[in-house]
Order: sequence, then structure tokens, then C-alpha cells
Amino acid sequence: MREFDELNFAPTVLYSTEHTWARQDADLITIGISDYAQNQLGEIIFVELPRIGDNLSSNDVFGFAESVKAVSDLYMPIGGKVVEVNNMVENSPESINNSPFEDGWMIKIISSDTNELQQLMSAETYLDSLKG
Amino acid sequence: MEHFDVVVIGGGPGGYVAAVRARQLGFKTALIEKEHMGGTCLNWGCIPTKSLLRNAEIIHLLSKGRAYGFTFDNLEIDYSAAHKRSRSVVSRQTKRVEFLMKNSGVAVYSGTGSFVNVDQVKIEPSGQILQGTNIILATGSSPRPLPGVSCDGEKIITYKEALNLTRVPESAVIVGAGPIGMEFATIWNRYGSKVTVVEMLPHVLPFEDEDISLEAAKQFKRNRIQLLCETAVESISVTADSVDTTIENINGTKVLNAEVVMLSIGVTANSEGLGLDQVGVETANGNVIVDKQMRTSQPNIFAIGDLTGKMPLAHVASAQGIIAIETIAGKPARELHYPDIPRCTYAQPEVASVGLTEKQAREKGYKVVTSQCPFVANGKALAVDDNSGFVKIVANEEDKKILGVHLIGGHVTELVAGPAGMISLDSKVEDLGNSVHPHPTLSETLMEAAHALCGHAIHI
Repeated sequence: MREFDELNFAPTVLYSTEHTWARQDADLITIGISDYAQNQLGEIIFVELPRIGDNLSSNDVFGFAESVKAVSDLYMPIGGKVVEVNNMVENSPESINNSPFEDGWMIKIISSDTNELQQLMSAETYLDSLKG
Repeated sequence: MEHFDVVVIGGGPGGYVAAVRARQLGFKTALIEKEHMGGTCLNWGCIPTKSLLRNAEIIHLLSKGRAYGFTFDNLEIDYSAAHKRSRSVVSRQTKRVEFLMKNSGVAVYSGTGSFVNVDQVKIEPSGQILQGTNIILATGSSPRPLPGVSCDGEKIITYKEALNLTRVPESAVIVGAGPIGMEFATIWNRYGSKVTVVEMLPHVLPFEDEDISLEAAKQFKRNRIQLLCETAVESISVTADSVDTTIENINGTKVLNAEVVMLSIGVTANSEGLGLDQVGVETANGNVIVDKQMRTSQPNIFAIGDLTGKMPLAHVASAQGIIAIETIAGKPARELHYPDIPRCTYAQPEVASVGLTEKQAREKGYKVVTSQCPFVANGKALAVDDNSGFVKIVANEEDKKILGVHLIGGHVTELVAGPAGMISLDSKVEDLGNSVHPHPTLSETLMEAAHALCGHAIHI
């Protein structure tokens, strides 16, 4: 496993305490898991994601990621309606390990309340929270 | 030429387990696999069939929906989704094994391996040669062919093509009523196929205790699977849109017409093409001859799994692989006691057994006592609506040692590990009866059968 200084804490996204990230483009929010999370999980071999049209609230479970070591629930960083699901990560889940912030994005939602983004952490705050 | 302490040929449940154990003991290890990690078990056997059988079980549940208060007008059943799910299960588990190799530090080579000499193996098609101080042969087995019948892979098939079907044949003849035959019979039958099973021997699941085979036959017939035992296959011929199987039994000769025929009459060792003759590794009927620690006639070459013809089961291959590696490491010699290894059939009903059948025990000269306890007396079995079948215990009359435990019914494959442990510890029937089993569970019937054998059954 890699150390903190070898991990990518992308500054362009916001982080939840459950290690998911959200990237805003107006009302459209892209969601994935952090580099730290994929590194903790190890090689991901399967993911289950929600269906387009599902309405989910902040902290709802939107799917799970199965790795060599464990099955981990995925939590919504903010609430909204699922409008797109990344089929590529369902077919080749290793893209989450290889590119957690780009190719490995999981879902896109239309946010029900973009104010919820204010509850999330910057890269810096997220890293501090991990270091404890 | 790269040198290894251990070179394993074959990445099935024998080979890959041996490779991991070898790494744990500090050996530099290579593994050569010609297709996918996990071998037949994971790709074309144990695992995908369990996925399809789960679908078959759900269909059965849906068919009983009315009793549970579920009604539906437009139930659509799509077998291609069951097939897709089974392949997804395989790819998930294959990836897991691939990462296991990577994380354990096993060097995996793609291709087939054959001997150049006693400590060198050539990989094809790459042509690369690996040097191995010790070589483990774990190349598995293939479906046993039926003399005079050639599989065309479309109308005359084996388990591999059967697992690749994306729709269920409307009718099927299955030759061989062993575990593989009865598992496919169950899957296709639940999906509405007209299934006929032809068996040469007197009973279905012919190597189980006779009482178990008879109960299995009763339940398969109840599910409308047609069973023809003591029946020989004379010939199989492909017609324009179906296939004719000519059979012969006490009633004479008859032709069974079906969309497909599946052959499941056992397996043969994959010992061809390894160059065994060249290095003096001896075989008998195609099986590599091994001693109790899995050494072949060449002291640095070991063979494990189906290749040895001992007992073609994945868990046997894994156990043999560990014994071979520990022998190489100079650990105290261990050996397997084959009758004490559990055997499972995941048809509906499931069958599981460990130890001797009643007949085998008598043949060995034991004075035998038995007891049978039905699941019908078990509250949990009734509650989950799965109360057919029974537990049978075979014991030595003199000292009441447990010689065999035989189970048939729902979920019994999950119940057999307990009695297997007791048999391996030479337990007596009283020990099983005195071991308090949790209520309410199906396992209580094991305890009850032990009480019954001691003459004091509570619920029957």
C-alpha cells in the first residue's frame, strides 16, 4: 500500500468523510471514490452501481465496491437524482484503481440541493482528517 | 533460463493453492496456466454451476409463489441472464485468484508446459524454458468420452458447452447420473426443459449410499426428471434439427429424441502432452502414479488433483497440493484418508456424504448399525419449506464408531463439514449425539440421528 505522500488528493473535487468525492459542473455532480479509498481497498474486482433515475440522499448507499480484501459500501457525498452511470467501471473495475478521479468516476447526479456541497471537505482538510 | 524452487503446471484449485503454500514457505515459485486461473473448477465446473443452480432454486420458489402470497401476471424468465450472471461470477473469482498470485509473489506464465528433462519445463507457444528444482503437475482432467460417440459441441456436448448455452434446450438427454449430470438435469428441469437421464448402473448418484440414491431418484422423479437406470447407450446420431439416442435396457431398445445430449460419464486425467515418458514419470490408465505424499516415480516431480485419478474433487486437489509442498519443505509426512473426504452434489435435492456407505462398511467386515432421521421432524426444515430427505448414520456396532454420514435434502452440502470433522477425529455416535446442536437448524437432524442410533430419539 502507498503512503500519503504517494497518493493523489485532487484539488478540483470535494471529499466526504466516507471517502467519496464530488465534482461540480453547475447542477451536474460527478461522484467517485478517492485515491486513498481505492488504495485502502486494493484491487477492485467488481462494482455495483445504482440505476439511472434513482433518487438518493446524502449518505445513502449508492452501491458497493468489491476488492480482493473486502466489500465496501459506497456513500453519496450529497443527494440527487442519478442521470448517468459509468458502464466502463462496471466492465473494468480496475479503472477505479488506475484513475480514481478521471476514468474511474462512478455516477453523475443532478443535485437536489447544491448547498450540501458546503458540508464536504477540501483536499487539504480531507488529508488532515486522514492523518488524524 | 530462469530458475525456480517450485514450478507448478496448472492453475486450478490444486495448482494455485500449491503455489500459494510454496510462497508461504519461502520457495521461489512459478505457475504455468494454459487458459484462465482457477482451472475447470472455477471456470467450467463447481462455481458457474452453483450460480445457475441458484437461479434454478429461485425459479422453483417463484413457482410456489401462490402459497407465500405472491402472485404475478407477466412473469418473464430469461435464461440468458442466468448465463450472464454465472460468467460474471466466474470473472470476479478468476480476477481474485489472479490478484492472489500477484500478491503472493507467484510468477505466472501463460501457455502449456511440458518436460524437457526432469527439472526443465518448456512453455508453449512462447518456447521459454523454466528450470525447477521441484515440479508439481496439476493439469486436471477432461470429460471422459463415450466410445464411438464424438462430441460436436452443439448437439452432443459436455459440461463445458452446457455452461456456454445462452438458452435452455427444450429437451435434453443426459448420459450419466453422477453429480454433474444431476446438477444440469436440475438446472434445465427448473427452466422447463424435458430432461431424461440415462444411467448404466442400477441407481442415480451411483456411488452414494443406496438409501440416498433411492431417495434422490424419488425426488428427481417428483420434479419430473425422467430417470432410466440400468440402461446402456447404444449409439447417438445427430439429425437435421435434433439428436437421437438409442438406448437399451431390460425393456428392449428405444430411441430418445432430444434437442441436445450431454455426456457426463466421468473424467479422464490430462496426462497427454506433458512429456511424462521422457522423464520416466509412470502412469496407470492415464493417471499419474503417486505415493502418499504425492511424489511420482521421479522424486522431484509431484502430481496432484484429477491428474492422479484418486478422487476428482477440487478440495482433494487443494489438500494434495499442500501436502506436496510441505513434503518438499521437509515438514512431517501427512497423508489423506480419502474415504473421510466429503462428497457433495448440488442438485435439488442436495446430497452430501462422508465416510463409508452401509454397503462399503459391510464389505470391509464391520458389523454395521445404522439410523435414519428424516428432516420432516425438523421445525426449521418445515418453516423454510424444505423438509424432504434425511440423515443416515452408519456405525460400527461394537464400539459405535461413526463410519459414515449421508445426507439428502435442502442445504445439506453445508451440513457435512461437521460430521466430516468428527469422523476424522474417530468420534463415536454418542459424541455426535452429546454435541449440542443449535435450534432451530437443519443440523439438529444430525444430532437426532445420533440419538436414534443410540436408541433414544426424541422427536421421532
